[in-house]
Amino acid sequence: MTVQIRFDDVSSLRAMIKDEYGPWGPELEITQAMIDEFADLTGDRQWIHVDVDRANDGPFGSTIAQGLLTLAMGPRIRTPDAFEVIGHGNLVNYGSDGLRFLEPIRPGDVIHAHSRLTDVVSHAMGTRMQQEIVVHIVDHDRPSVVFSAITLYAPPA
Amino acid sequence: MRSLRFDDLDHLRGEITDEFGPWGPEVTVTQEMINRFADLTGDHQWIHVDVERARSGPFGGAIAHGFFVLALIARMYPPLSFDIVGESSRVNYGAESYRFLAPVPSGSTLHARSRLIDVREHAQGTILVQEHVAHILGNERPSLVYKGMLLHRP
Repeated sequence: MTVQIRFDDVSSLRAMIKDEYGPWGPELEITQAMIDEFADLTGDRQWIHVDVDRANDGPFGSTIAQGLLTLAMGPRIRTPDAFEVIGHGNLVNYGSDGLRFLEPIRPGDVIHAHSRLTDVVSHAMGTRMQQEIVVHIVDHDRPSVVFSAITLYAPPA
Repeated sequence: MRSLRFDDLDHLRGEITDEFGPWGPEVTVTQEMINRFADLTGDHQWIHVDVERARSGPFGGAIAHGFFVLALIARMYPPLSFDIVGESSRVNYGAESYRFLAPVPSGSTLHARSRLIDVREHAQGTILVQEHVAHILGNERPSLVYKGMLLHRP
């Protein structure tokens, strides 16, 4: 059974900070249809993403996914929780203290992620937890995306 | 508009400024767009897609996903005060940081402005770090502050 830790028990949460990554999350194939829909929604219609013919002769030999598409796919490749946070109210996506796009992702690539807890601090609005999330193409040593994700656990209303 | 070479670090550094440039194009975030983003990314939390329930929630209505607001920077992209020339390509290198500071309810109209905050030499070219701030029209507090990095390659 997953360990439960109260959102305001900062010392117990801090004990979960690790150097090692947890297990891989689910795999997801990135398709040209996803890239096209993301382009329509966000206006990022650079040829390197959506013009398949031109991109085949381009620097990557095919189209590549928008970097922010990979980031937005977080919920689909969400890594398993090492513990369950309880007792909190709203969860707020607070932002990030670092994001790097390291390797391109092409349509047909299958990606997955693993993560580790890197920081927990008490905050005026609750508890601030920071994870490092690393996205790889399956079986590639070099990650495609590395980013920090900061989540604020607010007290119950 | 002035043109600066991507590898002319001295002149590029001369463009680093505390002042934001002009506002870029306005973008209205509709519930239909939020729903499509939810379908694409699998983030169907009620605060984004359940309009009825969200009406009695903390923001009085459904709000856009933070990552959607971030991605909309491509649509709101505010103009730089100079052209960059001489590069072969530009690559989204990542971000120093981003913060979601105020919710964006569906139906809001956003716009953004930018300033150059750093210029870095890199083994593969030059990295320009720009701070983009996106506000709902008329809101003093930004919804998003995004310090994005573009790599300009020879």
